[in-house]
Amino acid sequence: MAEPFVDTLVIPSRLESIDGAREWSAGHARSAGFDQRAVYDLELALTEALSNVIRHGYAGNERRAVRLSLAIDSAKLSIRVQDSAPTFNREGHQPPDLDNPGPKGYGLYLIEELMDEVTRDHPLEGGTVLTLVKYRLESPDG
Amino acid sequence: MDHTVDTKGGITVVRLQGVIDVNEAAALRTLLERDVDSAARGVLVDLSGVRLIDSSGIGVLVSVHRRAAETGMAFGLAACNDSVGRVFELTRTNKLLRIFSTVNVGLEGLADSERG
Repeated sequence: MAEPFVDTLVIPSRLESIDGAREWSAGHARSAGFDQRAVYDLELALTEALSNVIRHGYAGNERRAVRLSLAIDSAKLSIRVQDSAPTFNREGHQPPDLDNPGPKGYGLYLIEELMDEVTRDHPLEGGTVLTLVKYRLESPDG
Repeated sequence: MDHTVDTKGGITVVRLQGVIDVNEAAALRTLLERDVDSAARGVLVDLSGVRLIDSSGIGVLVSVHRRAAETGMAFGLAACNDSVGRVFELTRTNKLLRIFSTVNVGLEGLADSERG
């Protein structure tokens, strides 16, 4: 099996940085043969993830950084979104009430709906690594 | 996000272009609230030029929908692509918002609801 394609991008914790990160991830996904729907899902999930980190994790502090690590192999694409913000308590977060749609609370829900796998790890040095995974519909190796 | 504003039969048609994300949400809210407050009969948002919408964009549209309802102003969305439409479906906001297939259908729909 070929070595996975890998790339990293470090962005400042500003909302204006999201556009470039989205283009970076989408460009790699398209080049690797992911279809339009998968690329859209990835772009939207990454937008929500970065929005959460920048607005809530770093609370608007623009001097922090978010490290993105992308890996693509014959089976899947994964992006690790690493921050050094205080740990977010996923279990304490209420899911949106889909029977009574409102204006807020869809970010995490969309990430988990759009991606095939979502995991959170908390390194010893602090912060969170959110890993977003999208599988190929069909493997190029058959 | 770019936009153009046009008026057809008293309905303000706001055509949005590009990406509606957290970076654009505040500007979109200001734009649409101003239009809802000043429109003669209603506001129709043409989403045909919108490539991507995130939860912040959805939130603005829900808030403006509520504001319009409170003031008796007709408000709707039209012509979103499949990707954007899927986000409305996933969040079930398609059950709350009035989403029309085309701008012309939306203009008729908003006019009908006003008459009704």
